[in-house]
Amino acid sequence: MIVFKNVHKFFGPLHVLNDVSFRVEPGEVVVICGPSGSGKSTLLRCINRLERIDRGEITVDGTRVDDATRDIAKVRAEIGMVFQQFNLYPHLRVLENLILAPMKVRGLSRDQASGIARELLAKVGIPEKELSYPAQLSGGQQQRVAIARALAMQPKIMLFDEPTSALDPEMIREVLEVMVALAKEGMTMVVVTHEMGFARRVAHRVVFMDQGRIVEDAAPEQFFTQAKDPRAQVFLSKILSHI
Amino acid sequence: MTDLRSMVRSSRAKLLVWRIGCAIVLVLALRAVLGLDWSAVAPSWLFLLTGLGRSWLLAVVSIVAGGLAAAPLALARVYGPPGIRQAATALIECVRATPELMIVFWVYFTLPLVTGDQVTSWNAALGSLSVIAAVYLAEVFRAGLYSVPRGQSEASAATGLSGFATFLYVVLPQAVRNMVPALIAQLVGLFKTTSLVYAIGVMEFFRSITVTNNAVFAPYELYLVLALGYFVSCFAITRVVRWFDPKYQLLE
Repeated sequence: MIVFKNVHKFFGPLHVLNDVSFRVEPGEVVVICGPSGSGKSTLLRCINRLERIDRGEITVDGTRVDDATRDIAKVRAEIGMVFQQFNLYPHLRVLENLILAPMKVRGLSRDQASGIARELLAKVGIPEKELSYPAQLSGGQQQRVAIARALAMQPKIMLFDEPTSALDPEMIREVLEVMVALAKEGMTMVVVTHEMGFARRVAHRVVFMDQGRIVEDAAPEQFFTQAKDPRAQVFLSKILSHI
Repeated sequence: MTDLRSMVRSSRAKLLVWRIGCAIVLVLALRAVLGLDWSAVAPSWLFLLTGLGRSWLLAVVSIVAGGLAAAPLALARVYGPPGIRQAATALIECVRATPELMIVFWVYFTLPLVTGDQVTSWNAALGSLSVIAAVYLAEVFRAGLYSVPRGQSEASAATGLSGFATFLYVVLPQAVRNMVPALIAQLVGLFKTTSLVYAIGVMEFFRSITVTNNAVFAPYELYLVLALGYFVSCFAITRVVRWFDPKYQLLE
């Protein structure tokens, strides 16, 4: 579904992605973790070309996305994305946030799009908020709306960029539960997160990055109990001691 | 506790003194106004009103024309390809970095050299004020566009919306809302700038006051009318823009 082949990316002198190769199969849930600045968000943002790469190849669902000439909007329409800061449209009501892209990109009628949107709002547990503005919702509610907005395009892949990092602890759970339900439905997901409980419960693989490289790529149990790379071991000892 | 009470009492006392002071000033001001001699000024009321009307006409036309030109200028400076972007930036910075009065003179004295025809002072006034309005409003628009966080256009692009749709449905509505305070300040400034064209002989409000004063010499009365005329006009502009400002109290 997603294939990275020897991908390199630089921010000036900084080598943020250093010869990254990895694959995500359909239906797989992959968690990416690592210290800050290790390139995990950049890797995620390359999948829908929010970041350009300097060398290598990225293929999503059979389409090259590193090719600058290709119409990227078509590829993006099949990839949902959820951001750390939610990025809901503050000038639109919740329902309008959800139906904008389905109407303008997929060409659905307002009624069709609203029908899908209402189902999704029920699914993420806030059907009563469709007429609210984003600023009237809690952080957890906003992030669930953001997930629903991404799902409204009925994507094949969902990307999550630290979806719980900006949330208060009591709101993290409600967002994670929506994500767990999604994973159990068989959605292909790539999740940048430090929520190791989530990784343990639903991830098929955990990818650990450090200084722009993938240094560990293993099943969760294997990753947590017998990480080979010393940097991954240090990272785990810091994170797991809190759980 | 007693401290607190005495503090409250003293702050109340201060308020009372303040109010009495204001009342005295008001009464004195009123007496001064009533005591003024309006007999010399009164016959010129139509002349002065016409001047104010001309100021309004100058302001409205230059703001509309300038606003229409400002939109592409701002877009060119923010989204334009290299070359066009630099050209827009250069034009905006050149006009902004020079005195408005100089722009007025430039249009009045150099435009005839280009067109080979005499330019009336009225047309020169409209032209120069439109140029001034265009560059200042372009900067207001640009600031509005930049005020929309990058995450907004990223989120929109990530759902597959084109660059144009992202601009139209996501960036522009937020930019417009954010630029309202700066827009009010700029429009008020532009209204006051219309007084500059008195230098090329346009009989707008400021000049009609000056001319009347030269004839009848009633500076207190006339400059009071001048202040009131500009105050009422600028206050009206503020109110009108607020009227168009969508109500966003729900959002923030």
